[in-house]
Amino acid sequence: MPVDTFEKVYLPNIERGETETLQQYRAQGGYEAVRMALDMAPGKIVEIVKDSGLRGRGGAGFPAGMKWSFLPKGVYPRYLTVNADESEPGTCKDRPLMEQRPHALLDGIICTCLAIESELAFIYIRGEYYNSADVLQKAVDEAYEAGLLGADVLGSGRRVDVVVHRGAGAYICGEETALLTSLEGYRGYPKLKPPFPAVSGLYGKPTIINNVETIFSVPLILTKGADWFKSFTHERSTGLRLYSVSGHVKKPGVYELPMTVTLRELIYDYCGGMRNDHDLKFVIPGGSSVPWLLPDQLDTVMSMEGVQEAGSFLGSAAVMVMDHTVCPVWAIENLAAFYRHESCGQCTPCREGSSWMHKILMRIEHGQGTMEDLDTLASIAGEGKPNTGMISGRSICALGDAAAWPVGSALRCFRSEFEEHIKLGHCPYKNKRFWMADGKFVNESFEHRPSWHH
Amino acid sequence: MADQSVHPSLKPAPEDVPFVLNGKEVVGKKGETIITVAAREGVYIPHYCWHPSLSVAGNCRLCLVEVHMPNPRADNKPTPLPKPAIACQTPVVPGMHVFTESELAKDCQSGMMEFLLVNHPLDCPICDRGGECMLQRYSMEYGTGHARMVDKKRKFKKPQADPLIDIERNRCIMCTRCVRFCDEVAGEHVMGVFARGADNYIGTFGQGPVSNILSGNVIDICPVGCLTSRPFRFKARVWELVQTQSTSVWDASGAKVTYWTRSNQLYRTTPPSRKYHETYTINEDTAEFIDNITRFGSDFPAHEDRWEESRVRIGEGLVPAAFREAVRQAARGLTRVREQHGPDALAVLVSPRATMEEGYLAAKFARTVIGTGNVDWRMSFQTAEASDAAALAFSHASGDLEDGFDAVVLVNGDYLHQAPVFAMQVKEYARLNEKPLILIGHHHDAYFAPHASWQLHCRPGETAHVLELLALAVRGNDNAKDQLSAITGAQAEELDKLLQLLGHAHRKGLLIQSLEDMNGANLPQDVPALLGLKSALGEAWDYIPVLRDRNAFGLYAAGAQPGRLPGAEGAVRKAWGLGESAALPVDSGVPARLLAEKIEAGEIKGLLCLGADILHNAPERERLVAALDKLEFFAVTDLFRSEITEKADVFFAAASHLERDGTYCDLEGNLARLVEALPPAGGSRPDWEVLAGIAKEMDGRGFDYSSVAQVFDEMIRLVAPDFAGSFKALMLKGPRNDLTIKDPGGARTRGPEYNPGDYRIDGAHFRWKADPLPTPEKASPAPERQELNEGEFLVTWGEHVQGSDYHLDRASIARLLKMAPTAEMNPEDAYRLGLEDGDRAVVHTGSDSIEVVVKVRRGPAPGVLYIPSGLGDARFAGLSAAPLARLEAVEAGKEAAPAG
Amino acid sequence: MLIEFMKGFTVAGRHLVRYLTGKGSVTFEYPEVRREQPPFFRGRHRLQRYQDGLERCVGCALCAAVCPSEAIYLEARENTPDNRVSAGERYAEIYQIHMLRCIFCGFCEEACPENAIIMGPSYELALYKRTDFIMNKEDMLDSPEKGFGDYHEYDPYISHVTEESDREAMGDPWERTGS
Repeated sequence: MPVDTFEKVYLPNIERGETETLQQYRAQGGYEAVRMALDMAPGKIVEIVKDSGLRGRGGAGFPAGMKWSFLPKGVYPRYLTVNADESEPGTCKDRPLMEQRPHALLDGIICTCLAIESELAFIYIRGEYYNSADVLQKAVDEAYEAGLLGADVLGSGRRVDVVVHRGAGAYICGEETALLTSLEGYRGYPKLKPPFPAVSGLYGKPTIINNVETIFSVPLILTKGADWFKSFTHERSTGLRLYSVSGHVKKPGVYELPMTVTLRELIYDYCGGMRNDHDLKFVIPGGSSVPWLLPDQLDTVMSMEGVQEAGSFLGSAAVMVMDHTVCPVWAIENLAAFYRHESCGQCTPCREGSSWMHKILMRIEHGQGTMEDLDTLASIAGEGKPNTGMISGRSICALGDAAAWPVGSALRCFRSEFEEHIKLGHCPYKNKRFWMADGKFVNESFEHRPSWHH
Repeated sequence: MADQSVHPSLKPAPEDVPFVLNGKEVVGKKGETIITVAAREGVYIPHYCWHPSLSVAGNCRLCLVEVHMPNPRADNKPTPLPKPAIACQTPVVPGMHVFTESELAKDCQSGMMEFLLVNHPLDCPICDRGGECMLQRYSMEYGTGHARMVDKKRKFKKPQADPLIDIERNRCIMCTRCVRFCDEVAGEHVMGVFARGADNYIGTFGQGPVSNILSGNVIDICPVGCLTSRPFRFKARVWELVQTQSTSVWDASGAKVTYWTRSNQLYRTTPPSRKYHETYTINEDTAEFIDNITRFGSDFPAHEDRWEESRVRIGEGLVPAAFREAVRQAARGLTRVREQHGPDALAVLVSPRATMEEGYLAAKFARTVIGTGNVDWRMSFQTAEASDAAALAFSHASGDLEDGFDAVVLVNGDYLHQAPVFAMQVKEYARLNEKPLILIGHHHDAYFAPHASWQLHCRPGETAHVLELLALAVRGNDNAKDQLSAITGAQAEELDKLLQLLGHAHRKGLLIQSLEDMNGANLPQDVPALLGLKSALGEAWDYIPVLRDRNAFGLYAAGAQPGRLPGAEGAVRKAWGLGESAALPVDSGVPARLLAEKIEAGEIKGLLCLGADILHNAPERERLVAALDKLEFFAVTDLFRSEITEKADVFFAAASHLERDGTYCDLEGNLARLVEALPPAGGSRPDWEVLAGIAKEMDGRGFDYSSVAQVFDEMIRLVAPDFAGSFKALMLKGPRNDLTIKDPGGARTRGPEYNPGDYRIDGAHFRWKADPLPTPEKASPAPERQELNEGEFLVTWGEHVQGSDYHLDRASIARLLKMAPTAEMNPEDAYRLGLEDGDRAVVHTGSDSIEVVVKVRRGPAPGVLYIPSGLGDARFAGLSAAPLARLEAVEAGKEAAPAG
Repeated sequence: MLIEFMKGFTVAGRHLVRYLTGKGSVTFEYPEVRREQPPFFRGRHRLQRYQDGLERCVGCALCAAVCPSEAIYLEARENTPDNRVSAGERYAEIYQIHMLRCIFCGFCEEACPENAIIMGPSYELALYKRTDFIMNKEDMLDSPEKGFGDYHEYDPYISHVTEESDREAMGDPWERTGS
């Protein structure tokens, strides 16, 4: 376990119950950033954030300051929408932030609203995050009572209102335009871009949509300075990042690290290595939607540029680690089932492609595939790179890409195993005995595995 | 409310955008999308979800094209975009290069086709869309030709939502055209997308029907076989049918239709069909929609009551007779009455569904052969004064929707249910071009209300007063403005904005008035008042009166009414072979509305009626039917055996609208050709042959016609002297639409390819355009307002296309087209009474009680109840003023209170 | 010249021997003996059924469309739960072939997407009245008495189609399950 040479700011070593109330957060120096922001001109805050190089933490990694500066001048009202619809498989970084440090998030929301001159912010929170929504709502109520929110923020005459809105359990509503249509009360369909939400978003007004972690970073940048933020830099990725590590490592969890960390350090130093010291088979580095990485890419730097160089994306920094007991065909079939279930069905390639890929993968996994299926699959999903295959780059939103990339990369990385399924007529991993993480010896048939499809 | 700050007509014209399309330099306008410019340039980009009348959905992804954008970082060199772009949404950019047939574009097209067919059942042999299916067509042109999908396909349960529209979800490609059509064009949010991912499907909310007068259009607008026509289900394959381009017999909007026939039978009616390679398509890339009555009700001539032989009365019974014999009998009867009682004891009635040629011949026959001015078609009005007011309205009619407008004022009326396609065109033009809609009167069409920029509500009977005040206010009378504000409850600032808008001198405006409202009870006041407003607004404003009767304007133009000749008197005398001194009755003549009275008084002794529907649909039907017994001679031409035709002395079997040629004129003054789609059934003859036959038998001169074209040519030279063409010329025009047609026309189609500029008659062409009425200096005194108690309403009514109608009652699926009686009320009243949309209630008016379904709409003014006439028992004809009604809600599950 | 005569006699003699020995004669005793038809012989039309008795024909009218002599006329109807006639949603209520017009080209067989119409081996088409040559559906339809499917499947293109896959592809509105 390496010794951290930096101070943890997103998730300092605190216990539950220590930071949730306004009093506790104030005691830790909270809402200092709001005071600072109130003294600054809005453009100045945007400048600072731009200078810090803060990039969106939701997945696409678009520079936050630049997004804010795209707002058309003189068009009001503007809205801020916080994307707390954290539904990407493997991602669990926003939840501790919201549940343990809700006021820090509000701190960020108020600062951002002041920066973009918005008077109303929405927190679109994932429907299943009942507790988080509860905690957040309590914090919002507290903040209103304390005069931090409302018509007169800290006596400055500026207005900031916050509405906590719970989603209804659709993955697609994490996509920014679908989130907006859902918030407007319509079916959560992504909209065609352009116009981008910064120009015409919620109710046709300019809207900024940022991830929880991005908003969370704003007060940190304001209080500690852009230079502190830039002190953790790899190429154009700045700041500390929350890595949600899951899968077959000894210590899965959320790790707050600078983006200079390599995959090897993340798995073997911070997470304590593979469970039972198994061999690493593959890593999904950025939530389920990205191409896979293989063991020979362990020295990848886990920054946006580093992972991109390795042929994948950092996405939401949700690292899923799989050991050698995992059947990649089963794994990708499971992921394909997820995307089949979560495709909104608006545009043709994603709607039909995600279900078709899943049907083929199901057959292959159950030993009923043919070699032609592999060619078909490859032509649908592409090579696990952007704008290859029949889906990627042709759908309305990024869900089409997200469904196709993992399939294409799995096929590229483990084609021999796919072929083995077909030749054997069944899954070669079936009925094998595995050591599970708790040390017990299990003999479960994989036929009864949970499936998204019903 | 539309943004009035910068009016679209004041915005500068869009800039030219030069770009390169498939290597060819083309020029688009700023804001246009690639697909529109490409269509104009003759480059076809395949598409399913895109439709020119609907918003862009961008979900089929079939129109993906390769785009190279000029890159400012690389000396504006065109650089490929990382992804293909959809042509339906991507605006054109100067210097861009678009490739619609590149490797990438073709790969996208074939990929999307494969995806769309993944779950498609491929049941083309069963599917009614087979032969005109865009999925079939694109599979051939853009598909891969083979299937790689071997898995089980998705299957849905079949809903039985709509009696007219069959929904087969397995075939759906989720283009959501139908959903957008219902939302945007039809104006009712009845269809939606349900479930998600590959399991999503379209359906109706609550499994209900697509209840809308325009709902049938979702059948045509569906590019695949998901939505098909139930009445046409499995009746025939489309390639077996012969298409005849003709026009609707119902819709005064002049909707163009295609009749699809085979072996002397009409199978279906659709908007005009076009040929695309070997496939016929309907409604692709055109905004030609028709109403459900035209679509499903046009087959009434096949009703079992049809009499296909002419008959003459022998003793008590009508016996079949040869046509010549019937003509001889009719001539003898008419001559006898004329000799005994003089020519003015005879009258000729013309059905408002008669063609212009028939109207013209009726006018000529009455005036020259019989020698009377008693020829008329105006039966549907409340009073004779109202029918004169309608004539006044027609004499000032001008303008055409094709020319567009910058603002439109609609006065009273249920336009969507009186001239559905016209109403749709007005609303769509205003909506798509962001033009202001201004509604004035006691009942606004609920179809327009959501898009209205201004709604000036008043009580029944106050419309004329409001219009006069508005005219005065436009002239700058502030006092009138204050009165207007008081009477309509409109804010003074809103009125200022409205007056500013109306006052723009260069603005092209449209004044539209329904002549159907309350059967024209208030027309004698309303028409002059609106014409006064027109003169106050100036020359730039046009006036279109709306009447439900299909050919009202054409018959008016053809002179088939008292007080009107088809043209200038001198020309008419010359054409009809009359000398200067010969008698030519013009102004004398009994209005049709007074017919019953005159028969009862013994002043009319003989009647020749062309089309019994005019008697059947008359407001005073019972009185008329009883009066017919007093006639000494009664000849009628009609299709059916009915209580009226059975009273005839001579019955002529008439050719139906499917079986004859002729010309109709719509309410904008456009001519449309009715084309013979089927041979006349049995011994039936078109009415012009009957008239010409009787005239010749009565020694009338100038009736030697051998075809309807000769009648037309004679007529049109009088009606519109500057019309240079002929009957034939009206047919032979180029295709109407400039989009997509690769190969117009075809061997199996007959009839004209329509052009909007076919021929238009309006005041200017008739040369009888009256001077605009002067605006009065003072408004007439305001009528006194009646105090309304709780639950009391003033009832207004109007004709409804889905109401009881002589012809519609005989359509094969009339039962499905009819509606239960409804009552529209303002949301204010509904809220006060605790009523919701769809609740049942009983309306008591005097001695009558009607059970109605309540519709809560922003149409009627507060305190006003609108009950469409003719739905079920709801008939208000015969009442002279808006009656006071009491409304009682019926609780769910209970029976209605007994009448009285 | 004598050689030519001898050649001719040899041929005649060879056939005489063949006929007398009964081997390889070219004529036979019709109608007691009938010629076996080649597998793709195009004779009188048959309308096939599925094994469960439902008609294969769904009344798509492609045969009528393709028929060069316009000998086929049909009218379709919708199946109802009480009256299942064919496997799909629609069936041919009236199906007529005018045998005097038919030129036995076999296009109908080729156009049929359901393998419903095939041209059988029967070539005896002699009737007394002209109107009898208009064959109705009942005249052509396989029946339990006539037996099912003992004719060749004319299936030059879609060899993998089975009855099950066929039925499935056509859809069955009354046996559908929701997704």
